Amino acid sequence: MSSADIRDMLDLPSPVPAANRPPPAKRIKTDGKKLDGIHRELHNLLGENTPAVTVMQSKFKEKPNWMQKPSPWVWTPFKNPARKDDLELHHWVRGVPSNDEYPFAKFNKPVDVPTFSKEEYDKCLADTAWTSRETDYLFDLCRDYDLRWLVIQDRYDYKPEENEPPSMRTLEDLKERYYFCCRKLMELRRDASGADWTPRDLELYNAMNFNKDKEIMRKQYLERLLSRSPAEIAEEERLILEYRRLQESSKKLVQDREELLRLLESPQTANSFAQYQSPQGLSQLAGNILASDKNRRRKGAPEAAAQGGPVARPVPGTPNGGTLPQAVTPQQAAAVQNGVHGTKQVQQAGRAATQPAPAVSKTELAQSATAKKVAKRVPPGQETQYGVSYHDKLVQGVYLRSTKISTLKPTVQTKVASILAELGIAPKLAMPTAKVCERYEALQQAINLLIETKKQVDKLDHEVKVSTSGNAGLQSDAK
Amino acid sequence: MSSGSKRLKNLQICRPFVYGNMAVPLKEDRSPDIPADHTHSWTVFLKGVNGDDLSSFVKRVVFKLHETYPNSSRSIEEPPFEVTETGWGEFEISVRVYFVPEASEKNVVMYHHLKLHPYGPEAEQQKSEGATVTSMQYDEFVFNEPTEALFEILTKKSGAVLPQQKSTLVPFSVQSENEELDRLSDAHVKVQENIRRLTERMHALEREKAALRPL
Repeated sequence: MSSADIRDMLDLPSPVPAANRPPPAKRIKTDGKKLDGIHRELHNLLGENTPAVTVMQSKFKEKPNWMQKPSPWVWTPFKNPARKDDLELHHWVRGVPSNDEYPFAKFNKPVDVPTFSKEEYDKCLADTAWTSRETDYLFDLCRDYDLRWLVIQDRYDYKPEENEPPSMRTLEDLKERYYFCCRKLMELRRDASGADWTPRDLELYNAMNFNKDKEIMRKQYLERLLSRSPAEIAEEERLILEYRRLQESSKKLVQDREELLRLLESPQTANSFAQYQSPQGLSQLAGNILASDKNRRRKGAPEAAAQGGPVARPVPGTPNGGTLPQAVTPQQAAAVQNGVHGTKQVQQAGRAATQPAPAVSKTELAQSATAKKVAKRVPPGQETQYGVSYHDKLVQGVYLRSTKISTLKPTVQTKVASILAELGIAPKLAMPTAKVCERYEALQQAINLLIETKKQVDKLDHEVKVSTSGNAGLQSDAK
Repeated sequence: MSSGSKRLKNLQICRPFVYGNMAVPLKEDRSPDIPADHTHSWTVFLKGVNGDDLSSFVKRVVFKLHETYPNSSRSIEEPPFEVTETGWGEFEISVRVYFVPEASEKNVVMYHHLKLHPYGPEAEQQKSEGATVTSMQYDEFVFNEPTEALFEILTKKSGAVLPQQKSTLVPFSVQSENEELDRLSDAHVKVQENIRRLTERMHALEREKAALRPL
């Protein structure tokens, strides 16, 4: 609100003649203004615009101007044109009294209550519950009280004529009758004039769509809402919270179930397993497992020979190769069923099957050319004394045994470490000899297996709980 | 191809050794060369178990000390592979072992934290006595597919035997190895027991779940 608005409202004369007054539009500070020192710094910080809110410390009152002659106050009579009677009142006016219209008269804006003729009434406003007289009475009241319903309802005192039943009109009844009449009048006048409604008329029409039952219900709801006791309010809040929590948990449950289903379904069986049921197929399966195992571990030597295994099978190569296949097959079958622990056997058996020429099982290694050389230097029983041992596949090079303890994923590793601590095993081995390292590895694998099993058990537990609670819910619903 | 450079397939030889340090607090009477703020005299070493000689296959050992030491990279070409120094602080020493050229192997490195101060329940007592503080670690060199020459060297004398009994002089022995093995076995047994129990529980839950499904 600028001072100009206030002056306009109160009809005060402006202090400066109109010509000299600067344009009231907001002016941005012009550039090129000379600013020194702190003001320049401030400007650089703040930017060109002044801050939005400035705290104005009220200075002392203006020095009163003793020179000016005081303007007199005049006791002036005035009339309010908004009044219907010619009441004349007086008030004090400063200086010269002007003869402008009483400034508050313009606030007397009446409500637009329509008037209707008898023909219009007969055409569309006739109603069994309302007589023409009562309707007129209602409309008069509306006009008088500016459509303030509470007042109208309070003042409503219709005196029916002898043949009419006594009227007990609720607020909703009055409203309904009024709005119904207004709408009907609007329709009638539109049809009569032929001109369609303006958007504003349409708005008005839609706004007057009064539904008595809905209004009654709405007021009842509000009444009830207002008259709740604090205990009731608290309980309602609690129920709402609980409901929201239940929704969230049920959503989460559904998500978990979806995930589990996805996990369970993930390993897709591509082909049928019929091909693996023959002894040939079994050896092929063993070869495949061997290949994938090796690819996973060594990340190096692709066993192309694995695929060539079943092809080479029927051909009896060396006498070794010929006798081995039958002996090896039940071994392979057993190995496949043993799963994890059987990989080493499968390795050896598979190797024996796939490489007919240089046999590679431990006993056969001992007979190899290398071993013969070794045997020259080292008397065969004393191999451990010299630290000599034979292995299938060795990566060439030297390393420290302590560096070769396998590591797992960091998250799993922490769990395994905590379990080891519980069991009383130090994280660093005191004496990493071959035997100790082997046993440590085995222990780690066992702990890994333990963790996996525990995870499975937890999952199943959860599922069982879900099923029981789901069934309980269904049963209670069925009741 | 000379016989020396051919590698023996599927063969693995291991040789145990010990590395670590000993430290002893300096007494009042000590040579004036030592700076005043040094509190301990320590020796970092790499040696074989049972007093074995490693120089047959170890050409040299390089101990890299803290930068503040002059010539912080100490190269020892002949046994005993150790460095003796004085100082006041504990730091990490890197021990790089180079093998004889016949082995055609690259060097291996291990790290050792130099320990000067005693630790444990008797720490205070040991400190006041001025006892020697030792920190040693057992490890093994594992040679995969060694060259023939290396093989000859390593099998000249049996070197992988551990002493039987444990004692103050011999901290790493068959006895201590067996102790560790036993510890690991016990732990393994416990874990297996737990696995068995959990699998039983899993089967029970599976049966329960199957029973609930048809509902």
